Amino acid sequence: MSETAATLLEVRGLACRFGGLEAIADLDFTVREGEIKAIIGPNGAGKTTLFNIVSGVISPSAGRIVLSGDAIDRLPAFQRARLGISRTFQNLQIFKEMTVLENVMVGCHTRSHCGTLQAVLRTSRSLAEERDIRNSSIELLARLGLFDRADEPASSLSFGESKLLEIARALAAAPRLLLLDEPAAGVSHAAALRVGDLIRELNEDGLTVLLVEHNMGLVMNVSHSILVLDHGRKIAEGPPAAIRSDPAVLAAYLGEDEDA
Amino acid sequence: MAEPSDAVDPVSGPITPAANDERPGARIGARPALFLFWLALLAIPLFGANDYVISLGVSFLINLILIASLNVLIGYCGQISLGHAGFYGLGAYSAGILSAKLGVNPWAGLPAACVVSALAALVIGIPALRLKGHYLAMATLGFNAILSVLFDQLVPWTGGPNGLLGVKPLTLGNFALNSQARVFPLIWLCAGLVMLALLNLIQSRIGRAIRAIATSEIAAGSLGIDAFRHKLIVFVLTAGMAGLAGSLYVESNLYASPESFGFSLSILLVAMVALGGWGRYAGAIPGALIYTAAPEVLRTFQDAQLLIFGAGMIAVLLFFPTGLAGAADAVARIWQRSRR
Amino acid sequence: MSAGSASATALQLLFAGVGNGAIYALIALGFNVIFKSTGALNFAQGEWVMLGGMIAAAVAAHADVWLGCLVAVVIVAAVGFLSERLIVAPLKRPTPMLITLLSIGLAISTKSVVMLALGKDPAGYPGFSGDAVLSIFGARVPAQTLWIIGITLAFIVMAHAFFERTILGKSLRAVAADREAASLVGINVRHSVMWSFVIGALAGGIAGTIITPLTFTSYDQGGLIGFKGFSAAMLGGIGNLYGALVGGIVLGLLETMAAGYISSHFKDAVAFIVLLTILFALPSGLLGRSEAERV
Repeated sequence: MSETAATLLEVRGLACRFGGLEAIADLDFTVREGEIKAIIGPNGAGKTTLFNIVSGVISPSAGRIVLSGDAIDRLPAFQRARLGISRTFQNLQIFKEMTVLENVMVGCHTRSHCGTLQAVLRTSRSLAEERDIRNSSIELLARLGLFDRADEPASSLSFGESKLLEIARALAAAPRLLLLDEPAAGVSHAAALRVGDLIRELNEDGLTVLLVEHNMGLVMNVSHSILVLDHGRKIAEGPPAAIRSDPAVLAAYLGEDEDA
Repeated sequence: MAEPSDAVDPVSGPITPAANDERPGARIGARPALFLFWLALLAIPLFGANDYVISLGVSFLINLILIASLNVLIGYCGQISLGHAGFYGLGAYSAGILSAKLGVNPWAGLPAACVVSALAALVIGIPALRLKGHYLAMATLGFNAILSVLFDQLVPWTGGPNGLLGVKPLTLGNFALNSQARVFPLIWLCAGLVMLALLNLIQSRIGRAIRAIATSEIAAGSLGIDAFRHKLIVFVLTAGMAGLAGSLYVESNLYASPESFGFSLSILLVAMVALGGWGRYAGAIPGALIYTAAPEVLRTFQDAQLLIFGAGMIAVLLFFPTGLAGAADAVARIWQRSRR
Repeated sequence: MSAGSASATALQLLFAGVGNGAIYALIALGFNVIFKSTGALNFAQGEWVMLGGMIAAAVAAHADVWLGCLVAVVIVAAVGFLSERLIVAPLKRPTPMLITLLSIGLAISTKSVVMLALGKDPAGYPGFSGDAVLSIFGARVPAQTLWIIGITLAFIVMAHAFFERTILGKSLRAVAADREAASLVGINVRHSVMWSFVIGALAGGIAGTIITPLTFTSYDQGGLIGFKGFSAAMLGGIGNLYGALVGGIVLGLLETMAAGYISSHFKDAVAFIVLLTILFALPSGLLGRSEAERV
């Protein structure tokens, strides 16, 4: 990733209040194209809230969010997805009643176009599009190691496999910016390493990644830049080497063992 | 296999659809099964002994349109509507009034009924679908109730409580479709097209989007799916189908009365969808069978019919959320396993 | 309508409206109590009202009217208890949608049991003061209407005292406000739900017994009156107990005025028009906070 890469995502003056609680206050940061940026911080720092705001699930009380020069803070979540933001969820939101393959096929929704009339009439165009969706979904499953489980109900997957499925589904939309919410939480050490490799692979193919993680090993290995939040405010931002030795960061984490 | 506790997602609220067996490569392809079943239905008029059996067949097909369309709305899309009978009635009266009061060719009544019901669904759906789950149920119920009052009170148009008379039968040249046997093929064709359209819909990208919305609107939104728009599409489409069923009803009975289209029917239709099996494509068939056959089978116990429906609905929701279709499926699976 | 002056007519309509409104308020209260504890809309509420009237009529045919009403109210409360045991208690995850759907099945079943047990004919009995009609400033007001208003007010006062002063009442409010927090402080949530069903059925049963002398009842009257009560609840603000009173009275007055001054044919439609208007324009109702939640 070059030093002069363009800005993909810009957040300015972001604030979010829940009743009397300030979940996020006065937050500014940018994500450059081709960057892997990690957001870390003690529990309750506001990381998932930040994801929810950027992806459009909740509205901020103040601030601007700009994607490639376009303000997106007024757009509903589904329109932001169409502009190229994809995400995974900390509390898995896989479609349990569908098969593994169908889950990924849903992810292709933004890249396909056949509407209700064509669906009902089963036109040759809709069938051709369906084949394409199916093929690219199978490819993604293979890439993430879930090819063998394609026709099984998504509810039968293990926790780690479900997390991979969510990533596959998010990738199916061919996003520009991928938000990963704790992709390595609750998985084995080996699996966490594989997640790290996957993120690096995807990034080498040109994907910009913003991730929330508690696994410091993964974060330090994979990120180009790290943003540290505490109580909803930015307390540090910079490359891993700088963050590792930042006294403010160490103070915020004092007493917590973060290496999962 | 789905358990009662798996039937409901506590996060999203609405009933989540049961597992869809219609993905490509399923055990018994739904498409060939549908074609075979539909051909078999032709046996009714061809070998059916009398008009009575044929009229049951006509009722079954019309009820199937209603229940199958409602099943897609409730079971696949997760939206509870208690106004389906209202759209049914709107279609019946639109077609009936065109023929009886305005002297229009009855054939025009079929598409007109679809359009009127679909438009009404659009008008009521735009505000109503923004409401949370059970409020949509009440709003559609209120809408149905208002329609009932209108059917009852707009006497110059609808004939009031005595019903609409003077509906002209459909004709093909000089051949009038004025008996159950004569009208059967048309209804058979329309119902078949509706079933095919619904199958195509749920097997498509739109069908997947709908099922995604029913499971997790948030996840669906994160994948670029406009939940409101899709819900509205399904609501309008299924209302149009109910309207079509209404026009077929009025053309086969040459009569319509308000009590056939009240919210009690809407509630019963929901019960039938539950009995047959939510979100299972084949579930509409046992649902429609029960609804059509019950009054006949329970002749002597006519009054108990309602109790059986109500108790059956409770039993299904508590213990067999996949309904009769799911039970049949489970039996088939056990049988297949035992043969290996 | 009396042949008196316009103001006598208006007064007559006023009494009728408040009388009907009181009934709607009671039904709305029943809805609200169950809604607050489960989040569900209880479709059986109207059937409980009908049940109260039908049972009272059956008993009053052989005994005193007061006894009939008392027996009916007790039985309906018991039915409420049994309903909760049947459709809520067995659920592993008692979500609002599931309970709402089950209440639909319950409504259908209750209606049919009444039809089988007590027949299809309309039933009624004389009011508490017989069929007396009073003349108040020229307006003809059935004595029963005054009984209805009085009993409803008494019930509301008792309900207020119950929720404000008794431990059970306060624990019900706690559960309604926050289930998890309530269970964390040791309140048995499932128990509270059971009591809310009993109270809801009680309100419905009382409503049914006191209105039947004026309107007569039959097995199929439950649905309509239930939905009117729901409209009143939404009008006042679903979940708001005082909103039930306000919503009920306002709806009763609107209905009676519309029937009196416009046309009696569309009387039933008023409740549904009100409901739709509220749902689309002001989901939080006149007094409530927003619960209907636009997505």
